[in-house]
Amino acid sequence: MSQVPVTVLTGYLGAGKTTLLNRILTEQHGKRFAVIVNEFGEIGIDNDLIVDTDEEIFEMNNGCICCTVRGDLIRILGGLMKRKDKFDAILIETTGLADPSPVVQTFFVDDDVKEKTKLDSVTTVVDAKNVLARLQDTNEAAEQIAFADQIILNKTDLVSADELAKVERRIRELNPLAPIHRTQRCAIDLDKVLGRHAFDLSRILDLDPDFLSADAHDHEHNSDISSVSLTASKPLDGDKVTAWLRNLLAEKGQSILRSKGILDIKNREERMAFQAVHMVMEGDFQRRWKDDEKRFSRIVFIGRDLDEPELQRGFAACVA
Amino acid sequence: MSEPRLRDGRSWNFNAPVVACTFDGEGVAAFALGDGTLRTISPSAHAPQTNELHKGAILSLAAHHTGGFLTGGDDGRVVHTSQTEPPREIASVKGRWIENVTTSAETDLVAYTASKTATILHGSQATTLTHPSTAAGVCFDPKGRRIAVAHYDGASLWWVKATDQQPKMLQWKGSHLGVTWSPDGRFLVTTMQENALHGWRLDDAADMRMSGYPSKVKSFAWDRRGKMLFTSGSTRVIGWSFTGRNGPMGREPMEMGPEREDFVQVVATHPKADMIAAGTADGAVWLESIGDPGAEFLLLDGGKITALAFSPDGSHLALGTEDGYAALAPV
Repeated sequence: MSQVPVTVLTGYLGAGKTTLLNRILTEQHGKRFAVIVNEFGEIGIDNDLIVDTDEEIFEMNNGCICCTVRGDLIRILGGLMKRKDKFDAILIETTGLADPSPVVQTFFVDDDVKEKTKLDSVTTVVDAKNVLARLQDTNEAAEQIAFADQIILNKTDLVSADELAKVERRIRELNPLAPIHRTQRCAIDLDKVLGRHAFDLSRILDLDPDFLSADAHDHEHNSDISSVSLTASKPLDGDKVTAWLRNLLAEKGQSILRSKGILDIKNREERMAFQAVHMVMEGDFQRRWKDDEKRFSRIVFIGRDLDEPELQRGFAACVA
Repeated sequence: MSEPRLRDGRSWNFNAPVVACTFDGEGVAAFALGDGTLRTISPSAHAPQTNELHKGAILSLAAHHTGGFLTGGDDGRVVHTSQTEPPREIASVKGRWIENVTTSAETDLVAYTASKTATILHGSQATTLTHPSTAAGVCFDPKGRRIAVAHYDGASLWWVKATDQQPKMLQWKGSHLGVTWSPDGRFLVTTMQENALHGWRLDDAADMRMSGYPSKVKSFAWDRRGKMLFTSGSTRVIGWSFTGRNGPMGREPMEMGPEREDFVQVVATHPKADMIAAGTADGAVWLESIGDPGAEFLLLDGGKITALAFSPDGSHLALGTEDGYAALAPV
């Protein structure tokens, strides 16, 4: 049975999430969606299903201190899968103040959810006009951007070209990987929002055109969230790098929001891909290096208070 | 995909996931489906009857103690269907799902859950109990005097008749999903989001942790004597003994049935004999007598089994799958 793709929509209050949802739901696209929201209000929708929920977060008793999940989602996704009429996609809107981690971790932790659905992307709507102020006075706005697989930079008509460039630079500092789509009133092709396969290990490279060139930026800003990118041109020792990543995420996983990487492991013809959300990591040998392909390893961490020199040292010690 | 191989009996393809099945006191079988219909078949009938009850999926099903069936749907409605009268809506909660319905014959009560509330119906009189998080599971005690509701961080016990009361909280960290009261009234057991059961001895609220499962426990059933609790969640059926003061504490659980590759999804216990039935994710349904190893397969290659129930006289087993296959098999 095929898994239904799920898109998580985050964004600070007033950024335009509801506008985007309304667009998705009212556009003629011939698809059938289930939308899980908090307080949507009354709108007439024929084909799609709106499910209202209270975000209910709890901590898993699995020894992982940051492993919080959304129990309401586990129940709702289970219920949706019981329906005869299936959905082409599921959209989950989080509240403006929400930390995206619990919703994302839900898709890694619950076996029934994993069996029937797959996370497609975390899409964050950002208000070009107000985001710099929100980054000053809240933590959530930075977290939502750092967590994103793609960013819809909305209300671009309300700022000047200079301001827009400044906003984009700031977003890049927080998240060097996520593509940015500029929009006004959230006007964007649905195909660009959905079907991203952002959590598909085999597409980690293909997906992010910037992945290869992603670089740690200057840290001259007042947020504590930043990214660190590590590269090695020599092959890595498979056991060492696995152990290093496992220990690192076990120790620092609370402050490392997202990590992704492609690894060139010594004596292996396949390249290894991994990704993690806080401490929850998945990785696998994924496909053979092509003959004409340059072999390398690259890891990008996005998180809070990252100690770049220490990460560099740890990574360098994994070279075979 | 291979065809289901049913050893004996009658089968149907309902083209919608079978969410639950049960029998009423008259031996009428009912299959609740993901298309909102309830298919009922009396022992003498040739074909099932289709009752169109809910707009979306049926999420919960229980036999009503006065006859017929109660269903709860994702349309927020609770409906009573009987063989003699047209289906009747007995409750409705706007915009919420009815994920549980249950009854107590002893005190003539019905209860259902919607979001954080559990509501007890006595005739047309309704009492709504509110919890700190979603009421994930509900059950009456064997005498119908109390009701237990599972939620985050434990379960709440309420008296069904009292007004203006504070519940007794049984606390244990984590998300508690299903709940069952031991037939002797001494223990309360919940299924959890983690691969474990949690139990409390009610006279002193002592905790009992029953863990070691390789997957989430979704189904449980007490044997006819009310001393053993059989559960899904592993490659075989796991049974915990609730005899003695300490119940299952300090004892190894019993394992029953064949070792399958896939996990047991549903269990049911025979009402008149020491026998259990189990349905697995790889589409097998088997019977085995307690204390007499050697399983008898009723179905193979059926698709993921989602529902099982013995008829009240124990002569038939009703079964249903995720793909909409359903059968009545002689035991």
